[in-house]
Amino acid sequence: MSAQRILITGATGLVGSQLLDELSARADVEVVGTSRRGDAARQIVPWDMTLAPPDALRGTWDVIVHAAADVRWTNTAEAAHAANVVPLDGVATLAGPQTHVVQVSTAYATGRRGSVDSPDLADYRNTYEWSKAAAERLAQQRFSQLSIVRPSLIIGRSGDGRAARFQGMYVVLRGIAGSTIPCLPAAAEARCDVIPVDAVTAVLADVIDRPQAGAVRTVANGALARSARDVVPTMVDALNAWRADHGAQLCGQPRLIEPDAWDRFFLPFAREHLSSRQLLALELLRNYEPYLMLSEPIEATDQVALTDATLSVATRFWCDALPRLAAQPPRPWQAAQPRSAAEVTT
Amino acid sequence: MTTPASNQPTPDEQATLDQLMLDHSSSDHTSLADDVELAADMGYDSMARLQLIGAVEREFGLDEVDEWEVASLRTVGDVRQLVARLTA
Repeated sequence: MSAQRILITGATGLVGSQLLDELSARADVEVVGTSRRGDAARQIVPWDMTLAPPDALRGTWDVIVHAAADVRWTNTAEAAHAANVVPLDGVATLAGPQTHVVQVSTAYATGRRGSVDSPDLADYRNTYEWSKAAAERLAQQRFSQLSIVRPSLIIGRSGDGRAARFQGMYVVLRGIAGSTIPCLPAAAEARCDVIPVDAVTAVLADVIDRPQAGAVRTVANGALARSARDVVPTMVDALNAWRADHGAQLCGQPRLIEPDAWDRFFLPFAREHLSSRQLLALELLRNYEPYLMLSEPIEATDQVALTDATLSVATRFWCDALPRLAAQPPRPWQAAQPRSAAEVTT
Repeated sequence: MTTPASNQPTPDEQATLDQLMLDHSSSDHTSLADDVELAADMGYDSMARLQLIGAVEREFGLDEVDEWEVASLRTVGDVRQLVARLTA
């Protein structure tokens, strides 16, 4: 039996890169990666998916894993559509009738209504969710052999923390290390759902090996999701452990403030006392709020627990990769602290 | 009129600035030509731009850059010009 021919789009991204490494080690598959700019060292073929595919990508594919995406939550609707929906046209040019297309989506694609059916942006928390829902709907129309995998927030792999990209929780970590995020809105009972990238690729490998028509797999902590009050301090502890090892000044834990107190007390206070730049930072934090404060657990088909060890090793990998950012000396904000009666500290 | 050479960042400072721009990128873009766009090419969003400037301020000992100046940064060249002006 000949090896399965598998194409991975977004092969330099967080999920695509990890999957490419894992599949490349297998003898029963022939795997090719592609990304917008490519990577000659890893034989990743450059392809702008809005253009015709290069000759190197022609031929019959048994499986196409479409992992290319722009995961920014703040794109315009037009930009999000261009990045996350239009490239499916490129996938369609390479997928034959028998090609099993695996669409990497997001656990948040179901938006506020719990479904990807709505085309209305108002039914989603941001343009990213909206565009990924649109991509799922289009993929359902386009590809007869389709599986969808929906991961929650992804960090580096569980063994060594390795990550090809630093987004999502890493932006929070970078903000804490750089003193642009001194506090976060976080409800005591709310959860954030964070999984290591190898948990996602394990499900992708299973979907590839055991295809089931129309399968939708959601990879998430689900009911096991931990509170941001637990996750964020664990990451900061790991950051400070790295700082201690490298002779850098330790940074404080960000204050985690109840959302009600955030809106009623902290923001009005901030508007009075903070610089416009600091206020902008607080405003931008709003984009992260939905993901740090899930009121209902994600319904996971593939439930993954998040351990302290995984969080710590992911943080340490980030520190080792970006030591200049990890070691930034703390810079206190020039303002009094939120009202002590309204806040909850860690 | 050309800017006096003494006002230009040193090669070490330029290398540091370039590394900071790469450190805050979320794409695989490694070319840092002046016309490279922070958002379209390097995956920057508003938060990344803000965090970059915070790191630049600290690295180069600058006062806090106005928020409107941060928001107006579109390209790698814009960041270089800002830093050259503020360190002059």
